[in-house]
Amino acid sequence: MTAEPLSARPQALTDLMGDVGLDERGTSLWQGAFQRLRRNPSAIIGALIVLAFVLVAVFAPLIAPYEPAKSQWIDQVTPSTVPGHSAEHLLGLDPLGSDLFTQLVYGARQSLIIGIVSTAFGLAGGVILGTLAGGLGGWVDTLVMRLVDILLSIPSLLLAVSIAAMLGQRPSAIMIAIGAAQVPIFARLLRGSMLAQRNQDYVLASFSLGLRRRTIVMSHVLPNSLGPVIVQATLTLATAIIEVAALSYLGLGAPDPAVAEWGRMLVKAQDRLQSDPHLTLLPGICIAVTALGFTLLGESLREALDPKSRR
Amino acid sequence: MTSSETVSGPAPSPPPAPGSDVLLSVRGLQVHFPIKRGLVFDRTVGHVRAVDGVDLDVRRGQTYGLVGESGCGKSTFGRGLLRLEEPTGGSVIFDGQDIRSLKPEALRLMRRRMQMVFQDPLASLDPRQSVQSLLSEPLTVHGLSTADAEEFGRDSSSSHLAKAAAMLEVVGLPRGALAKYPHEFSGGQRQRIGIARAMILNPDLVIADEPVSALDVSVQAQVINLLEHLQDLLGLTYIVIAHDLAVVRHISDVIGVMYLGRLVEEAPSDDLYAQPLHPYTIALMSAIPIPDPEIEDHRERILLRGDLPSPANPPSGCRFHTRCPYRQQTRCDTEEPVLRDLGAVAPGRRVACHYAEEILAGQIAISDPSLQIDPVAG
Ligand SMILES: Nc1ncnc2c1ncn2[C@@H]1O[C@H](COP(=O)(O)OP(=O)(O)OP(=O)(O)O)[C@@H](O)[C@H]1O
Ligand code: SF4
Ligand SMILES: [Mg+2]
Repeated sequence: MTAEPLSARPQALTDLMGDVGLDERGTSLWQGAFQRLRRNPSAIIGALIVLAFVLVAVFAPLIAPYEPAKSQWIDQVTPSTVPGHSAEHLLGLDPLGSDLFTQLVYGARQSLIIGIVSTAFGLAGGVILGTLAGGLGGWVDTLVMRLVDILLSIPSLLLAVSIAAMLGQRPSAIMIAIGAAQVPIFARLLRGSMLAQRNQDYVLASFSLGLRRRTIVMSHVLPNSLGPVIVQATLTLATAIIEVAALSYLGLGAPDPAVAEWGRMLVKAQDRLQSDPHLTLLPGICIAVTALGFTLLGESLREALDPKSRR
Repeated sequence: MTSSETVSGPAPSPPPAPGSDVLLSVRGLQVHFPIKRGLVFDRTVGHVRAVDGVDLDVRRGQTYGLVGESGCGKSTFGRGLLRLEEPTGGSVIFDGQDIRSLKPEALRLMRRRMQMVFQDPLASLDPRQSVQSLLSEPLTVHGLSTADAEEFGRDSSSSHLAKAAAMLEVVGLPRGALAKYPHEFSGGQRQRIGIARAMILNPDLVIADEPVSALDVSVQAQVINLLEHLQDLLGLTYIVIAHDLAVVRHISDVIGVMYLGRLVEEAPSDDLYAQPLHPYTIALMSAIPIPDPEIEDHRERILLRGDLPSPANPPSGCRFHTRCPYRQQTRCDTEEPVLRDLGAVAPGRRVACHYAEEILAGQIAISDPSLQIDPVAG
């Protein structure tokens, strides 16, 4: 446990450490939450969906039968029809003549990357701003929160569209845009949560014990305030995936039209909605199911972390 | 700045020197909270005078009980002493040192000597910390005291652990509790952990803010007994806050009664119970039964009517006049009574009432008979 030499009463001390280690084990908050999660069916369903999604994204090259974005079968696509199911093409071809199944599999990868990167970006920005506001208070708080209020008054999709348009057609643009739109949401959530924690007696107790303000904020207030933010991040992953689709749909996605992405697949297929509904339906279902998985997981996490659900 | 001049008693004795009999000396302490209004720019439109000029001395090794209704400023007073809430006026002299003039870093180091036990034990413990971490954190900040270092070895995480386990034993919890988290204990056990944490730094003064009022009646006595035991063991000085006279009765040496941010009466515990002098104290006492039938039959009992007035706008004159059954037309509404020594009439006691002597002598009748509790029926 420690490298320090046991100078006095080594025997008593060893007894004591042994005592602690043996059968008495505490359950920390996160351990408790995890135990509750495991007993919650919607958490299990959510986790399975998310797991499947992540596995598909990671192992896309192994799962997909072809290289993505190869339009080598364009000659089989006519203005009026795209070939459906066949032996070589499980789900048929897409309107540009590439394998639909391959596109869907690689789309998972694209969505996951964009979802995670943009949420991480939004989370990092939000945690920094929220900690500044909630931890320092005073004019820093006022300044940060005014900025956040302004950003929040703009609808997030509009904000994302403007940022994506400003950054131009770069692959990172869409991630920055979606992440930036999440920053004020995370910042406000964390600040509110920190303010609520700051009024708790344990913070007063920490001050009266002589802890430094920095220590109190960083190792007591912040960790206790993160629960709702982590829940929000899980839910945001779901919205991020939908927003990627929306931005692609609006033509603001990655410049390479060949990169498989569920949102763009929707766009490309929309004029064939009448004749080939499966072309829009399949990417649509992928988006919906993945978002559902993250939402189920986030909501169960919220429930599990709720102090009232603790016995 | 804040409010009117403080009307304080005949400022007793100069600040005590370090090592003197008086450990804590409070003079004219004020804690006012600004009331802010305004959408864009906060404007201060008034002050909540939570603590509004309190004078008292606490002697070494003694227990000072502070009682009063909810909202009268007891907790704020306790926090003001430690500057957990910044006082807006007055002075706090702790062991010869002026707490209010300390720089932040000096104050932080000083806090090892003044600790607090909180009302809600669960809220006062970080839910993410194990008991071991809760107990060793203060030691990491301040180090072991010299005496502890001798017993438990050089300052290190193992000696901190040993001290933490020893402290747990003192408060009556098994060592196995070290690995557990606050939510895994009962209310009484949590309060024991809170007490262990407050005492682990060997403080001189411990302020216990309603230490048992959140606990089951069955464990209240145990926790009070534990506090008494620790006082003897560690030579502590206590300020115990309660909203009810019954709780502080047997552990306090001196009791101060607070009303709307001020002290209205102060007396040795037994004297206060035998003969409350201030009408407010009489009313508080009326609420609790007294086992001695002699006193029970003869004491004056009155009902407390109405609510506590707002501390943002305390009544003029005597603050208690809006609820006082002895209120007189002559001075009560206009002249603020000072907390004064009654001299030969009641030695060693201080009361803030213009008519304390007359009430004691039975010369003033209760103005509204409906407030009197019939001694036979009541
Ligand atoms: N931070 C604050 N800002 C503004 N007003 C406050 C603040 N803290 C306390 N007050 C007010 O000061 C007054 C005294 O509060 P305090 O908590 O000290 O009372 P108390 O005697 O401890 O009551 P209780 O028995 O309910 O704990 C109350 O009117 C309360 O509303
Ligand atoms: S001064 Fe007057 S109002 Fe105040 S307590 Fe005494 S009798 Fe009552
Ligand atoms: Mg209180």
